[in-house]
Amino acid sequence: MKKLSFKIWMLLLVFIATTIVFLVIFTNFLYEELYVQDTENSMKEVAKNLQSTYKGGVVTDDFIKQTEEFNRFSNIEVFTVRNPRELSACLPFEIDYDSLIGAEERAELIAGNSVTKRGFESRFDRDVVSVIFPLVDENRLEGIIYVYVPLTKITELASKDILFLVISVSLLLIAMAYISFKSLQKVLTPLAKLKEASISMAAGNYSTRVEVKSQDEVGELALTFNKMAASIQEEDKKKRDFLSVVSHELRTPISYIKGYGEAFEQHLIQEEKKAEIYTLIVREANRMQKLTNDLLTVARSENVDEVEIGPIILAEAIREVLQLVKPIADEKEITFKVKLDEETILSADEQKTKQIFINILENAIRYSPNQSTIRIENETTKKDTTIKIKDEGCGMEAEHLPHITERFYRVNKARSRFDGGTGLGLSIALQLVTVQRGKLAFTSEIGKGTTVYLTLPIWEDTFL
Amino acid sequence: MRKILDLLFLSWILVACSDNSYNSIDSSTDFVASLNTLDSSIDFISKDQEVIETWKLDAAYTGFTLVLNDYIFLYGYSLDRAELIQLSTGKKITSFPVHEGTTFAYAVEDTIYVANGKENTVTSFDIKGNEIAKADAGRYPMSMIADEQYLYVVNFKDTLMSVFSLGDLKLDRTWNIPTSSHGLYLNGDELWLGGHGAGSQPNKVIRKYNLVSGELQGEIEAPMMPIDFTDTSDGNIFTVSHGSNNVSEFSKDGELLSSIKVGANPFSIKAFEDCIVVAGYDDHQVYFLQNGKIIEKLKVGKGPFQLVTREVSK
Repeated sequence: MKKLSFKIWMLLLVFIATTIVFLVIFTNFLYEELYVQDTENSMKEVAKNLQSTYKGGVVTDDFIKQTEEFNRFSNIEVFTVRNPRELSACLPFEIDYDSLIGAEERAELIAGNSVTKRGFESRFDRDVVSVIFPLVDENRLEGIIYVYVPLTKITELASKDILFLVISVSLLLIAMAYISFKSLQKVLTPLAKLKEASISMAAGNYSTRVEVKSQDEVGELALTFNKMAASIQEEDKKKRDFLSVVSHELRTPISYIKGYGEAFEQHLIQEEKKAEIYTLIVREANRMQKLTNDLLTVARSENVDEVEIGPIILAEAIREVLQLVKPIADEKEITFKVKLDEETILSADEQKTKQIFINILENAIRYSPNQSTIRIENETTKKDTTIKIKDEGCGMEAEHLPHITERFYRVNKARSRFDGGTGLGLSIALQLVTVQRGKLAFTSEIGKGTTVYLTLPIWEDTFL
Repeated sequence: MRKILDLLFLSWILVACSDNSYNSIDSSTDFVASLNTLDSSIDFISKDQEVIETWKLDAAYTGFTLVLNDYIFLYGYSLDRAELIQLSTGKKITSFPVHEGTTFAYAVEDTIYVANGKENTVTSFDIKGNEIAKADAGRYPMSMIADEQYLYVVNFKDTLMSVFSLGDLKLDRTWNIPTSSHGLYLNGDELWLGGHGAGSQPNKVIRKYNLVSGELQGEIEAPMMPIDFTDTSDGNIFTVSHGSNNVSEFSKDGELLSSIKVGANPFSIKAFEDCIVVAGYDDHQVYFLQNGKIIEKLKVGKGPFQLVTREVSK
């Protein structure tokens, strides 16, 4: 984290510094260029004006004086030269003299053109910008007007401000560095908090949450993290509840078996009661067996890969299931009224579907009064069919309906385990329905009974 | 193979042609010729003041002189050969093995005296290019003139005049002169000397020296930078001052008779027929003067630096 923030900060600093340096150089360049250009233009103006006063012929002393007068009012140096030696008049001869203008410049000047030079001038022993205007009479270079400004003057002008420039640039750089550091911190602090929260989560502290302040990507990430944390916490709670219920459900039959076993060991059971107690022990052992079987089913039914979808004739499947539950229905003299479409073919896993019916019907039988009726009907739409299983049981309040498929959920807590169920039946049914892309719904009315609506996809070849 | 032969033949023609590249000038034609150093050409001008011939030169020649009325001796400061060209045929006759640094050449009949400003020597050649004699001079020998016995050599970057005997170039005597002196004229027992002036100071006088003793006998005031002389049949002496673009006429006594502005930066002056001819280096024109007036000006090649005249009839 620190590394990333440091890298970004350094990158920002490099960008800022580069920009500032570039701007300074560019400004300096522009300043010099524009200033020198401007100076050059004003020099040309001066030289042109002076040139216009030349009337031809020999350059007179008065003319020279006039140009020198000009120096008094201007920061530009102006002088007139008429000495042919300075004008390179002797040029075809090798002259041991450094004249003011060279051969090419002389040719330019004779042609009537002005000459502009920038650079070192040995005559003045410094860099100058100079403008030379010719005084030409009938092709004769009678003289020149030489105007110059030392270039160093311009840079000297700039160097005065250099200290100010360096200080202001440094201050700007420091300010920018501070601002960027603070902004970066602001942006990256939530990430640091997220990291701490993740570590806390990894340590098992599922109640950890991140404070969300910003609306940006980091804020969204924090929000998502919080949702994830909530889900994990909920799952963890469910797991704990489940384990506590499972251990509770298993402890009760074990206590019975243990208690009666010890009683037998100490010969405390009367002979006439023994048969009843044996039945009780076997019943509790069966309950344990059923419970462990159901737990295995719960574990397995979550695995979608094991689903083998095929065509199942609904009516037939129901009949087979009814045969299986008939013994317990007969105990309570419960009758079934089946009204099913014989042509409905489900697209489902046969074993799992039968298990769903068994669990739902066992549940219906369990909560139905003696000599009551359970009705089974179905209604088919284009893509699926809804099987309606309606009992005439005690029914339940609407508030329980969303929870009855939860593991070990009991509507009547007091009845608990005496009704013979494991508390996993509907939960398993729901899981098996879900893996087959079906739906399970309930309606109930106190004293009148409960209706289960099981919707499953139909085999599409049915209609071909 | 055929192509190679063709190429060789073509090269031979080109070489042959380059040897014969100049148009001939008839032996009976009087002319004044200007050597134009900026575009390397020679313009021949007739006494009718018309350009009759122009030679485009093949090298950077900086000076020339007429030899025996039918030859032009061409030399250049940066060239290690000088050429002798026959006017009547236009052919190169001889290549002279001069060294780089030739500043001036002066012909006395069939002997050519060559000054070298790099080696600081004066060498005499016969017309076939054979060296006759060689002598050390001062720094940068340049302007030369001769009488019957002696060759007078101005050392341009030195402060002395060297006087050599004509035949064996033996140094006879020297005397002091200002630096940057140029232009000589023999006036009886006097030697007139012009010049540019030293340093930033332009020269404004013609100095008169005693031919024998070398003693400075006087100075004649002249317009700025008198550097070339000529005379006319009436005995008057003309000088050209390139610093002030003047042509001035003096009597033999050194009295200024007249002065007029001629051309732009003129370096050379010659008497031709009954005219005075001046070459304006900066305006590329040759001027004809008569009775103190410009009577004609002719456009010539760029940078006419030196004039040479031939008057066969004289």
